[in-house]
Amino acid sequence: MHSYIQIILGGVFTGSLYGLAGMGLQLILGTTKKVHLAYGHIWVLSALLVSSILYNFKIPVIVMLPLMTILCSLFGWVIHPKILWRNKKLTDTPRSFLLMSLGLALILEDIGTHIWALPVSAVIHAPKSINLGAVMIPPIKSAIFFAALVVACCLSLFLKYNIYGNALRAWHGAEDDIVLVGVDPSKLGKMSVTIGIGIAGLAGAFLALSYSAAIIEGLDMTVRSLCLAVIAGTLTPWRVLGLGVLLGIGESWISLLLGAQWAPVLSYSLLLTMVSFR
Amino acid sequence: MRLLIFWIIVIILGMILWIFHPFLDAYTNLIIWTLLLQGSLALSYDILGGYGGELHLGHGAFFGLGAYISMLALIAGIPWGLALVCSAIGGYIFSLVLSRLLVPLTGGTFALTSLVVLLFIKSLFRNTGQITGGTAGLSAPHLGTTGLWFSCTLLLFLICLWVHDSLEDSRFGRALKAVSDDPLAAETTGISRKKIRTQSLILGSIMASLAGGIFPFQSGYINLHSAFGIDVAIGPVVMVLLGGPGTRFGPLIGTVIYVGLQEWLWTHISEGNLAILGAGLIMIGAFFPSGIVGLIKSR
Repeated sequence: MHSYIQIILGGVFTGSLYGLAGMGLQLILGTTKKVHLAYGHIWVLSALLVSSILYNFKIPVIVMLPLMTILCSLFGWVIHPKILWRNKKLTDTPRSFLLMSLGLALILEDIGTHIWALPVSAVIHAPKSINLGAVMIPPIKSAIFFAALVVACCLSLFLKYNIYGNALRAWHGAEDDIVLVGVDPSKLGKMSVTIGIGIAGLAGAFLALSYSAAIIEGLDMTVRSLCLAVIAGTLTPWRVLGLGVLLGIGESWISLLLGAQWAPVLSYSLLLTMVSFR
Repeated sequence: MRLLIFWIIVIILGMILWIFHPFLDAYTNLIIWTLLLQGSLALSYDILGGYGGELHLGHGAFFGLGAYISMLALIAGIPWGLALVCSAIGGYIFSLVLSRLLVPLTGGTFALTSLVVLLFIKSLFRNTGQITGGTAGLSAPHLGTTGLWFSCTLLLFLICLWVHDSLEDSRFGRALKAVSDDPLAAETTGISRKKIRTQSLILGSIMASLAGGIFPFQSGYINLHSAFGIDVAIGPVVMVLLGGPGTRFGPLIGTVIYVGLQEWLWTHISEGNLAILGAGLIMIGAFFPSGIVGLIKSR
């Protein structure tokens, strides 16, 4: 009984991490309608960076979380120029952006492989687990769950009540019309990518503190986040989080029954099934 | 007339290569073989990826599938000719199944789904190690003579070139271009979008599977990275987009540049190849999505 609770709890924590990352990608996808194939690589790379920084410098864990979020946001702000969302007749196609984001993914994978040849983790810097009877609750994994709840809440409020959030929602619904009312889509695109990649940075920091990370998992992570973003629909952070938790629980059971190597197959199968029936 | 001259040159060059390759050193043979194999892949990709107008990121899955089927057939003692036939049949069946999923999709959804298919297949092959060898890979008795794998690759390249060249002036090729440019208009003229796209997917997939089937002949060993690696999968995409998708000579130009650049990088830098590939994709996506041929045509 306790082992089943432990498995489900583990799934909830893992799924919260997926949901957290998924929210960032859904924000990018839901507003710009462009698939960012380098998202998972940025997520994993930030995890590797956190592990290295914690290993080499005595920076408190609590500082790393916002620091990595800000760093990744800055990275997103710099790397994604406004021109990507400017309406150019010849090159402003989803295919161009896909190619460019895939190119970025390959560059990041090469950099990651070169610097971190083996998987790394900062789990040793995380606080020890708390025992509740026979069930162990790792504090950092619980923090992922609560952080995901907070981010979902903040995103929902931002999209609903903030003027820029309203603009992002309007952009999704009526791409050409927002220009008529004076909204600059290139500015919005840059904003959504900055926020989305910032969320990836936060997810990466949590990833480093609770699991091990390897850059070759980047594309798998992108597909997982994409799976959640696509299935949840558009700009629905709560639904992404909920689906993420379900995915995490599903992967935990698959790992138990078939082995951990089968876990990624679940998200691939879900995405392919979703695409088949849509 | 120019086309006739082109084909005469191709046949003469092919015959020269076939006659004189035993006298070349091993490295030169390997480079020429790589050019021919990658060229075959690029030409097969260009059918749906170029003329069909889709970004088919899962094309590498057929190469990998063909490689594994051929290798398993060789290990089982099946003669190499039949092993190739098995690869082609495997590619045909898989593309038939996949067409139900991919053909209705377009644009970014098509690209993404095809990429997920590649990752899915790679995962399946990794997790069924009892059959596929998993991460350790598979070895087969080396087929020995350079002549065999070189000749097979040369023949495949010529066939792929002929098929690709036929698209430019054939009814099928024009229908494929019409479906890519304006599907609704094409349907109103009686062209079945579903049928044309399915046929192009199957045709390209069989060619890619054959290329994959030949691959183990040269190396005698395959693993997940050499069969399904991201650089193997993205290579044909880069070659075609670099040269010019949906053009007669685009894939060939792209192949020569890509293989040449890769070889130069391996010998001079020896790392950072993935990053160079990535930078190439960014340049193509940002500055010349219609490739070198498209750039020349527009000037």
